[in-house]
Amino acid sequence: MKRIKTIFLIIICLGILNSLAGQTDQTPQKWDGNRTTPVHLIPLKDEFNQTIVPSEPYPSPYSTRYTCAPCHDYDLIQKGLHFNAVSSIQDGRPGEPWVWIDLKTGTILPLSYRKWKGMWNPQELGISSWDFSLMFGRHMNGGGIAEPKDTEQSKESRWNVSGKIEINCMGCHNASRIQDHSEWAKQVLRQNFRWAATASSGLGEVGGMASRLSGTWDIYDGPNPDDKEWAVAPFVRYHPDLFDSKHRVFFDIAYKPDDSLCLNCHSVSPVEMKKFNADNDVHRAAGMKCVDCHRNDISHAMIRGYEGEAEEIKNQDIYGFTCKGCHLGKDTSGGENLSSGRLGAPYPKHSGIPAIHFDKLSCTVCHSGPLPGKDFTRVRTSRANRLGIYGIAQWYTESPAIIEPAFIRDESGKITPHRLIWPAFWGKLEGEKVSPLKPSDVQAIAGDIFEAEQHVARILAIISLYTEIDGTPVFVSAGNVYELNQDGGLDVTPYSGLKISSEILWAVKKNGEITSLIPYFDPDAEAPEAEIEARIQKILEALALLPEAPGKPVLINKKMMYRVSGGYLEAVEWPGKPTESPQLFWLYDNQIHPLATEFEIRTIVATVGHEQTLTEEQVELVLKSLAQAESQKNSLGKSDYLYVSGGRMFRIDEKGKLKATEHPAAEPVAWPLGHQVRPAQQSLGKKGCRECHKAGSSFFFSPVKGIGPLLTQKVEERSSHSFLRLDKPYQKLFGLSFSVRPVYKAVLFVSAIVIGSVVLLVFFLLLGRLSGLIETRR
Amino acid sequence: MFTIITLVSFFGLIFSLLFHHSRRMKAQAKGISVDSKTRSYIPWLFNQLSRIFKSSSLSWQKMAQFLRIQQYPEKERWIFLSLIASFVFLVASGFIPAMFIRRGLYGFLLLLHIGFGGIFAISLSIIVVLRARVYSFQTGKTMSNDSSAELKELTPSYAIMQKILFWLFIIAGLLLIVSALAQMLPFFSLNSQIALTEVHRYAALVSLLSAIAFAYITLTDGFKR
Repeated sequence: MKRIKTIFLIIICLGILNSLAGQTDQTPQKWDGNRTTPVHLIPLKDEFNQTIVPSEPYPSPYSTRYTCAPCHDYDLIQKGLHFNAVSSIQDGRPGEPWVWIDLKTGTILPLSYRKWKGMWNPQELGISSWDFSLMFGRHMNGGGIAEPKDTEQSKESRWNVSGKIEINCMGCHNASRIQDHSEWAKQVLRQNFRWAATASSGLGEVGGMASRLSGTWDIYDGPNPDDKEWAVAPFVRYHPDLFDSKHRVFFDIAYKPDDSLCLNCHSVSPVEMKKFNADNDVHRAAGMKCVDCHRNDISHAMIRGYEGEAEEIKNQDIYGFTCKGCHLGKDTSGGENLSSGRLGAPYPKHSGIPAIHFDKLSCTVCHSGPLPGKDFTRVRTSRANRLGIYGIAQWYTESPAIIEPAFIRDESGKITPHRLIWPAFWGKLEGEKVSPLKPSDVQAIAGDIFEAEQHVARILAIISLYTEIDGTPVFVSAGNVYELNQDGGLDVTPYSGLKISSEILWAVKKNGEITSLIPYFDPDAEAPEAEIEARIQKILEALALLPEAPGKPVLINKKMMYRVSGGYLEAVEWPGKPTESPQLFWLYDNQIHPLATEFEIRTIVATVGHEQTLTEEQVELVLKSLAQAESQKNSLGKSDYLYVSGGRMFRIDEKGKLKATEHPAAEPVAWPLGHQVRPAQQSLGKKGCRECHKAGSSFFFSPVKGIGPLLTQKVEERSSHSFLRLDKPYQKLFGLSFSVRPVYKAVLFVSAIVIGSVVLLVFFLLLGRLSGLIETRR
Repeated sequence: MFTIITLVSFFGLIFSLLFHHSRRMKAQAKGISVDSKTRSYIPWLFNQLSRIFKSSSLSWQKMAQFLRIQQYPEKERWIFLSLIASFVFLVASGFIPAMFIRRGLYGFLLLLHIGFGGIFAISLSIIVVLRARVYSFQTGKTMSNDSSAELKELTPSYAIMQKILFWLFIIAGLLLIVSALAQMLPFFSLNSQIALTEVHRYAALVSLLSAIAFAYITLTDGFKR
């Protein structure tokens, strides 16, 4: 019995010791006070925690979880700002959303896992972690949603093929210039998730594409011996010279990441600005780095630096990293003699600025972003507009249209400059609840309605590929020439040559000259020349290859119809209406139909070359298709379908017409901007009160117009004061009052001089009387 | 803090004046209790006011009579009226928001406050030029030559008090003007401006209290010989 007790006690003690040992592992290492960064000469570990030997035939990509983990608590880091969007309890001040863009369907949907106003939660829209990682992994640094637990993976995902995107430590902390964000983005888009960190850090060369592999492939399967051209399994070839004899690699670690690595994902630039003309934020120009203010410890709980953050997260230590904390210090009662904040940041006197401004405005109103002008400044941001991915292809997008500075009164009641976008999406209205639809679902129902441009582009592409025409096939309409571009769409240029016959739609462009695709010939007078005949045959054969060809391609010239039959060009009499010149048609149901429909031509003329990608006609057709699809699916279904664009909600009214209304779901989505900070000399108000306070003030009254993919006049138009929640007549009057202020000041000044002089005189008289001097003189 | 100081000083002054008035009455009419006289002061005041505002009798003459405007030269009357009107408006538009509205003075009321401030400054500067001699601390000989009769009728101690109150009001007015002007000039830092706002508030309080006391002395007959 005693022995059993002893054994039992030993077991309990061992258990306690074990748990204590476990706790010790979780405790972050304490800083010993040394300010240097340790040399990181360490072995690479793969995702199975095995040391990587670069000379092995098929080495695995390195895993940050296991390579960095012996010293750094990976699970703790995962709770940091850059990785905790899904799990965070405190979301803080709104930040930039991820913007889901699908130009074909006209979708511009701001997404965020954080509960920020106007932004849609991807989970609620049915966007899985896989979809999200694939869409936005290009500008994510791994971890969080891109590294889901095995139990959280959706069925359609391919995590087993791609691997998870672990936190890309080197994406921020690599001091080497070889760290390549473009490589990261490309590997993510190839679904080479687990290889992306290795490829972008320059440790090795990664080949193959997981996206081309079957869904059953697994990293254990290794390379694909049957396909060395297309479905090549991802592989890595490490640079052997980076490893020492113990298979250790030197990581050139920057404890404080270089700004360029932050800017990979956080760049913001005005659209119209040229690179050579772009200035730095004043703090960067003064030699500071992003992380000098946006700091964190091993928890990676990065300081965002906005007012009120310290109170929100209950950590007053971070107050010193706000504008106020750094420039005013904690004690704001003194003056210039104060030591101010960190490193003696200049103490602002703010001479002549009434105190109300400091109660009602955030520092950034006057000091950050572009100065308010007649129009808002349109900017591109890294994450929304896909900036910073370099290559021959152009990666960035013009959409979404982000404008700044929109001065908006935030939840704290302070006016703060914001960046702003107008959402655009298809959705369903049930009661007052709006649910956005996935672009793929809309496209499936809309069919060819969105395909006008692509359809014509495909015709041009197929003619170009299969006919050996000397020149570029083009489509001509409304005085414009539409040409195939590298992205499979159309580019438009105005036609400046001789007047083209209105019947010519399909033409050839050579040396800037436009000629008809099929040269004119008279079928009554003579048989077409052999060259023309050959061209007709090739074009008709090419058109027949078009996947969506609705019928047989034919050429009709006056009363003759030409078609390819049994490999030969056949001419038969056309019983229908004769044409003036050779024209291409589809023949089906014993009727001819133009290659491009009137609807397609109207759509192309209206949208190609414009920022807007949809017409009202398309929206009307799609909304009707959606309603029809639902009624076929469910006869009781009475959902109201909608499209949101430019600040308006479009629906089909009782008469079957498109109507535009206001709705909260169409409201613009905005988030405060922090940078870039201008020097004090360029702050708003430096030139005087009238920079803002005047009748036509840009600050108060700049017009904001809704921007969206829909080409329409029905867009939301507002004046800036509506965002400020201020009274327009009062602000106009108040602004006007500044016109007479100089006179007012003069009146007060003269009054003060007069009263002061009299008071002084009476005082001296009283003094003379009290001292007896006046009586003595008498 | 300002609200507390304002309320305490305002009601303190009112009660002091009431107390003072009752004592004066008691002294003048022996046998009448102080309490009853004190009580009778407020009805008297309202009675005086109601007589002015009665529909049939609401006229500028009666208002002027109540405010003893007639005792001033005709040319000066309008200046006095504009000074009084602007001061009353400034007090109402300034103190109520400062004491009871967290945001303070803002909006259209602020614009009106600024506008009436200009009228007040002009009126005050004219008044001080015109009345400086009357309220200067010179011998009675000089004052007796003056056309106004209000001073020579008062007992000497109250005459001095009235002069002091007059100059206190003028100096407070000067501070009000200077502090308002200074806040519009680009010379003062944020902390200085906050201090200037405080100066403006307390100068307004002093001017209000001195105006009340001055009006009490001027409008009540009890001080006259």
